[in-house]
Amino acid sequence: MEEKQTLICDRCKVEMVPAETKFTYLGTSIQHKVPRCPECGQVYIPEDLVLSKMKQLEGTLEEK
Amino acid sequence: MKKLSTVQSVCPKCGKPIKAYYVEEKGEAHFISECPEHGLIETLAAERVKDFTRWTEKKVINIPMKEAMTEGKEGECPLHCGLCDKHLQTACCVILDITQRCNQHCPCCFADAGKTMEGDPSKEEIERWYDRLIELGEERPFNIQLSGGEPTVRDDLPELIRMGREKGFSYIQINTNGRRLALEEGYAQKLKEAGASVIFMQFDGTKDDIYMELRGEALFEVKKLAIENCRKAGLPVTLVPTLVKHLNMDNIGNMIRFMFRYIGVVKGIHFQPVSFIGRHDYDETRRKEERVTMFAVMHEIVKQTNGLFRYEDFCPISTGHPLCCFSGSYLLLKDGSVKSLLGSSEKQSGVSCCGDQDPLSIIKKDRDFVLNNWIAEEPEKEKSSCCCSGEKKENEIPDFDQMIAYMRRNTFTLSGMAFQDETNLDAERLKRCRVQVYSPDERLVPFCAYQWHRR
Repeated sequence: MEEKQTLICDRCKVEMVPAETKFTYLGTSIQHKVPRCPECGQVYIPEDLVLSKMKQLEGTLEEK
Repeated sequence: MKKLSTVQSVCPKCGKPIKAYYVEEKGEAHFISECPEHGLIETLAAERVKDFTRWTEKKVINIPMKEAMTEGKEGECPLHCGLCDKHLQTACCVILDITQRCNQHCPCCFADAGKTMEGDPSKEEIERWYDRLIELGEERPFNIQLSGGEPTVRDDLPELIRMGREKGFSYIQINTNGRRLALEEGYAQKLKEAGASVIFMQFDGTKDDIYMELRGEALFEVKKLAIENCRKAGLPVTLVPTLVKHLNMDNIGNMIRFMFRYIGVVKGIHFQPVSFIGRHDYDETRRKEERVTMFAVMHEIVKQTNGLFRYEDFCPISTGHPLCCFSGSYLLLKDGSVKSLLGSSEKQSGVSCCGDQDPLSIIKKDRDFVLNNWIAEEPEKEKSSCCCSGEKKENEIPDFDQMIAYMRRNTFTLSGMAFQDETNLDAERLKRCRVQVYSPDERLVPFCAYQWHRR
């Protein structure tokens, strides 16, 4: 059986919960669900998001 | 008159190497060359001396070529072009003139094309050029521009593009007037399938009066049709206006707004202030009347777009001479505003034009800039009333995939290149030239020196 993974906010020691977060990049915004601490609002950006969509997006600006 | 710097030039009359100076005169910057036999020649370098001095303070990064092809002599540039061992920069873009023929006969033509007395180079000859250029390139092959004449008059152009791609050139630009792209159904698709990277298209403005004067016929509809066909084929276009002071300098704002209508297929405007080479060979009075500096172009961009662009957001290409180019990269936002994509370091020291060919430090600088542009907002901040919340709302996009597509579609560049002619040849600029022509006798010659040698 798959074990449920939980993320604990290092600052508040409470479990982070998925929440819609507003990402703004160069004046353009999107909403995307990422784990957020219900106490302090700190968000965790998963590695796969950084290495896929965010990296791809940044790459578009380096194209000639 | 105050002397700003001393450089080397050549006399337009006798062709001998001579001293030249940049000077300040009545708040302007001028270039003065002095031949002991033929006297002084003066040309405008910048309308405001402050622009000139700030711009020329920018640091230049030299990336030498892999192999010199001729032996140069100090103080004799450009007499031994080829590239000579005194040249300081490797090429970024190499121009191959694949024909001297043209399907237009413009009163003004940088290349003075249209003559038929010389035959086109054969496919085998061009293959040999490609092979030699692969040898001369560094880790990454040069960018190639297929030019002429009008390259689309050659029916084997798709084959030549395909051959270049197969040899390993990853970027092949087609320098064209767009006529065949407009008038021949499916031609844009053919070039795209062959591997053309971008169409570098002559586009002098949004009014036919301009084309009548510069090209001898009304061409605005032809340009629109060419762009539309490129859009259907997914072939990016860079618009390339030749700017003449009393003709189309006041059309710059409209050209930019025109680009916004076609954003997605038109990826930028590359302004070329008129240079008195090729068929632009005018007398001194007309040169003075029509000469446009790249500084004036930048100021006109700002002036004619109601503050959409800022002069401070333009910078030189860090690996070329600062007086040769300006560049700015932008994102067009949904609310009609634009966002400059250059960070403060780029504005200070210039932008690299082809990152993966340049030193690691430039690449690192570019990437650091991008890295610092993400903001993940806290919900409290998002909910609170904010003076700019209305504006931000307009720029919201549903998800990451659509945002990627949006960024791809809406980024563009505004750039310019100031060519030199016989009256303002500056050896320091020539030695750093990265736009080079592969000559029929198989040498690499800086574009402006190539035009000088042809005379």
